[in-house]
Amino acid sequence: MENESKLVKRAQSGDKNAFAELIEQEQQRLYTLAVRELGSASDAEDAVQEALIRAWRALPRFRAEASFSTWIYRIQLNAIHDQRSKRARGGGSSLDDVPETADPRDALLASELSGALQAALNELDETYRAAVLMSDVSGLSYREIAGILGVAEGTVKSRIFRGRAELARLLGTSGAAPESNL
Amino acid sequence: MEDTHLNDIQLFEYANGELDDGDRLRADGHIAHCDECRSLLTLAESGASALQSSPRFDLRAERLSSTINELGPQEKRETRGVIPWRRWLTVLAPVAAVAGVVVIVVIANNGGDSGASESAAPAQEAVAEAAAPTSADGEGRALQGSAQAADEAAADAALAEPDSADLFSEAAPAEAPSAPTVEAASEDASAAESAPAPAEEPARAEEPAAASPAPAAELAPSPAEEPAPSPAVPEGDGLIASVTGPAEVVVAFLATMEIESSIAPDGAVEVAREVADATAEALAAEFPAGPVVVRVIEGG
Repeated sequence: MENESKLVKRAQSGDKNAFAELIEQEQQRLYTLAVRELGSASDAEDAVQEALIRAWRALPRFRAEASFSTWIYRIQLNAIHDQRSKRARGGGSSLDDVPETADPRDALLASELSGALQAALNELDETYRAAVLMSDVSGLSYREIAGILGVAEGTVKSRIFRGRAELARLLGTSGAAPESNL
Repeated sequence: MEDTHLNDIQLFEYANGELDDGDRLRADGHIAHCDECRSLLTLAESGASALQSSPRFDLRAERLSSTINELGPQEKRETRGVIPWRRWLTVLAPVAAVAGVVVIVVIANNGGDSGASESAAPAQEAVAEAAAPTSADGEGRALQGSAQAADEAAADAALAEPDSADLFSEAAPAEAPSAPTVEAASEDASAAESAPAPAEEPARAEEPAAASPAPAAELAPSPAEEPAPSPAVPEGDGLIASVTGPAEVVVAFLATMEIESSIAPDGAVEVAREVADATAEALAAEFPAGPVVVRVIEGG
């Protein structure tokens, strides 16, 4: 596959195919992040679509020294935030809705959205949720997350740690530690 | 470390195997007899496992392709905007005035992840670590928000030594401007596309190219947040202005003028060389002197 910087340059000059290639590499992570953040498949689709539109429009102003994935994650987080605000105003979907299709993957998605993990994520403080999702679902490093959130790496470490622990508490996981090795 | 609880950063680094041998031994010593820290480690491990083993989802192909196909025109790369930035800035100015000082410098190099950035990282983490709850009585151990002040202080404390002198070759000292007065907030939400998010609202983090003017309240530091120390800006090298405020305020302000900027890991604000003059002019006209570095990166 053509390397990212070449794809970015092509996309910056208006090449939609190049942009599609860039997005193809990120769509799963972006969409999963949106699903988990919003707890709604259709809201997540809207948020990803909005992020892609914003990214496309702003792409000529993207600077090469930044990572494209980091950049688009920032846009995605804002689109998620806006979608959440829209829902709060009554303009979005209800939680755990899944578009009606014949795709069997939708069953898994629906199951996940009505599951305990999503319920716990919905309860988790927003600050921690973004950090743990980017770390443990998207697989981003805490350095990347720090860049995306615009905070110090130590802040990200703290948020990830607290977020993980709080999530486990919300899931009802016992914090009882094993006797050995610690 | 044996007698006090490990803070969240230390616990994270312990779990990640990032502590050096000495710290690791001290952490082992504490954790061996501390049920609370041991419990937190177990919980965090469990939470991470639940997330890491969860399924990933693909966006429906037809939705993705239709989105791509319907994309409209791209924005032009402009440096001057039409947003009523002065009106918006007046709301942020009092926040900036209490939050610290921003030094604007120009460097003639790319490298957003410069040596300056690297040198800043330990300082950031040190601040976070120092501020995080470590008391033996367990104060601040509640998971929800107890370390927020420490967290966010770390973000604002991230200032670094500037890069080598040759990187600051284009600067000219600027006079310290006066602080603006308060008028009214801008209702212009259309510019909401960038700026690293203020620590209080991490979800608002968009592309550095077009900052989102966050509400002034979101940009205000918490009482626990100390103004960051002034970076050692080389005299005569690259300094074009010095202004007041957290880096987020500067980025957001510049965005209102359609000047792209972003916050580097060392806390500096970076702008493209082509807008250096506009940046210096705008900041010199509106902000008093202070400590966050803003530099120009070429090739952006």
